[in-house]
Amino acid sequence: MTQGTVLVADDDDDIRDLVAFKLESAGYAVEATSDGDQAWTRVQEVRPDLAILDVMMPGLSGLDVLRRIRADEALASTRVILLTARAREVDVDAGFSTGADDYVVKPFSPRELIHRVAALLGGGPRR
Amino acid sequence: MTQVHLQPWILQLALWLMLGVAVVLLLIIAFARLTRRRRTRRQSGELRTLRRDILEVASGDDEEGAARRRLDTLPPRLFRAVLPTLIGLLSKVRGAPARAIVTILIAHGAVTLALNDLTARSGTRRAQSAWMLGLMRRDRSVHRVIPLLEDRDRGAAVTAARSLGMLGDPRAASPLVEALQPGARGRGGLPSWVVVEALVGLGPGAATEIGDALHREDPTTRAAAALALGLGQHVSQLPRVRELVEHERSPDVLAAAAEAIGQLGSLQDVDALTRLSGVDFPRAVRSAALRSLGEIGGAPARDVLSGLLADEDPRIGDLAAEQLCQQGTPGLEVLRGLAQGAGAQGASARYGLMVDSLRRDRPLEMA
Repeated sequence: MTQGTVLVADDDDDIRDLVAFKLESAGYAVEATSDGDQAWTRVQEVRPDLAILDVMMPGLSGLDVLRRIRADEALASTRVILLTARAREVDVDAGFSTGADDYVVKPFSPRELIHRVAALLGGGPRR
Repeated sequence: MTQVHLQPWILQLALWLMLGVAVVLLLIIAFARLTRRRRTRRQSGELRTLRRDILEVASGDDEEGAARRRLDTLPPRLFRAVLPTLIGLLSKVRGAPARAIVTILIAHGAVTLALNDLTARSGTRRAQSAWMLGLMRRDRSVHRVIPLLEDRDRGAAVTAARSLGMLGDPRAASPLVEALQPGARGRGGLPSWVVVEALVGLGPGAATEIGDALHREDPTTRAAAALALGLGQHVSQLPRVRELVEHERSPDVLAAAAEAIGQLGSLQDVDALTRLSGVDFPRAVRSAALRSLGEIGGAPARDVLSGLLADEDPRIGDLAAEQLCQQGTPGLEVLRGLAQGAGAQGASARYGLMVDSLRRDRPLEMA
């Protein structure tokens, strides 16, 4: 039994694989995509409990995907974490204003990320 | 002129020899390609196995250290193959996983190699080494990286500055400030934003040294110092930035100082920023002062911003409206109160509300 389904969208293979690996080892089912358009398609198909979105991706940006998620009533319960290298206050502000539940700046701690996911999904990671 | 007569059999022999050489060369090429393909296939199989180890280390899941030990003992050929992935991940993770990756790099002699390569003939290798030392946070290498700021290869000098920012040792503050000055034969004169970013990385220990640079003769240096103090949140240097604003003449420095006050200052600075937002100053200075008024917020700043909505320069009016938007409900209330009005003030207020509705993806509310 999984802890929930998480969609990971990042065009950096290493980051995407790393986050997916960490989530899977913590007991989550993972859907991974490498661009914004694919991410939006998969969000509609899979309806994940949570999406971890990179802000700068080919196609739709992470903020665009977030905006679409927030505009879709069917996805009202989908939580979103933005995982990005954009660390300026104005970027963080834009992320939260658009409707992100959390904002994580790269370089990041994978362990901390899992705790944030668990906190948002209302359960503790298995490890 | 003498004529040489060759026997036909000699020509024939030469032809056969050339043909033979061509066939041998073709066979060598085919063999080399086959070997390379086999090696690549074998290596990608090995890399697949190693990828799991790398992900385990980089995710912090390698609690027993087994994956790290396997990576520590990789043969050099395989280590070279995984090195780009390790370096890539090192720049994206922090904490225990980053330290574990550094341990692997050290086990393979990467620090020694990088230190040696700081004086390599190739500028690219010098730059890569500086970058690697920065990523590995080898703070003991600071004194070895600093000379690269004067490197004849501009890429290596820029990378050295960024590496020093990552190393975060305040001793690099003064050399970084100096690196803004153009040196002999095209050396030095590093881009301001590179130096500012690096200075910010040096942390609170560098505050006084950066503050001292506010008194330099060169305006580029003063501007860079002001920006670095603001971005680095060096509140201890705020009095020196305030003093600079009082006497400064260079528009570039004034704009940078106004930005810094926005990041460090308080309501106490609204008067100074109001003066800098006046029509006597160039647009760059006025814009910086407006942004800082937006940062500081509060009723006094909103009063100034609402007055500037009517500015004869429409860009200043629009910027004032954006700053009011960013203040949330109290700023939006000011805009709604003025949106019905005629003239420049009403137009800028309506622009602000429109920007807000687009940003938040909400319907436009004019009143």
